[in-house]
Amino acid sequence: MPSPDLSAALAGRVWAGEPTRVCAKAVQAFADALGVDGDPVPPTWPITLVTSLWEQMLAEAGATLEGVVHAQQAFEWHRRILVGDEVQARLRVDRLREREDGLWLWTTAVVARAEEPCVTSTSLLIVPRGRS
Amino acid sequence: MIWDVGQVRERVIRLDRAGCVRYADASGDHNPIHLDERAAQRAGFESVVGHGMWTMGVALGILGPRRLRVARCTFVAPVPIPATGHAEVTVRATVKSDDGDALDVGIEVFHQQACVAKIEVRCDRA
Repeated sequence: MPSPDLSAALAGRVWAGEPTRVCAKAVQAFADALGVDGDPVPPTWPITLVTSLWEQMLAEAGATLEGVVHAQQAFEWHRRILVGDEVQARLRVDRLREREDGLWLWTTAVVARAEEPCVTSTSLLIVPRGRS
Repeated sequence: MIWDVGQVRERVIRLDRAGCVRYADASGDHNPIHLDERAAQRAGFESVVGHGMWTMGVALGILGPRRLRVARCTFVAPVPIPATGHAEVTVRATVKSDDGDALDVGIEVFHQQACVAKIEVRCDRA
């Protein structure tokens, strides 16, 4: 269960992704999957970097994304991300609460280019009971 | 493109299982509740459900290429994706206010008349 163990493993933690070059092909595939234009880079594209940090976060706590429910998502865009940019995402766990349906996890991720924030992503994930 | 306060734009979008696989591959989110019937049922859903971020990404597409500033989305209910055929969602966007600099837009996404996602967006006027 998403247990004191999972909470203890995640509370107050921070994860950093590898610096990543924004690749035209990957952006276009993302845009095509949404049925939108690939230029400019779709505003929700940074979630791809955040998702891999969520996986890293959950893996360290012995859990996976399986069954995790994405309940809320917000973005604040500071500057456009362009194809060819080198960007890096950092994720932190802001808050954890045990609720009836599982562990509620609030995370904030910042995707930056040369240390300048491009987008801030805040999310509420619910890790169901019995899945970790 | 001018978009007046109170003006509504609407768009109907279809999602099928192949689309779920494409979004999973393109986004790197391979949560099996979006791909595998049994995994979805184990998690308490009636069938495979679409990615919330697919819904949000598609819904924001209604704003076109204008620069977005802030968006807050609540995923109200999952969108079940049938094994054959497709799920049809309706994206409805309304300009709530225009301060001469930016627009506040409310977006709601419906599936079978029920709201599945609500997004509040602040974006450039054009």
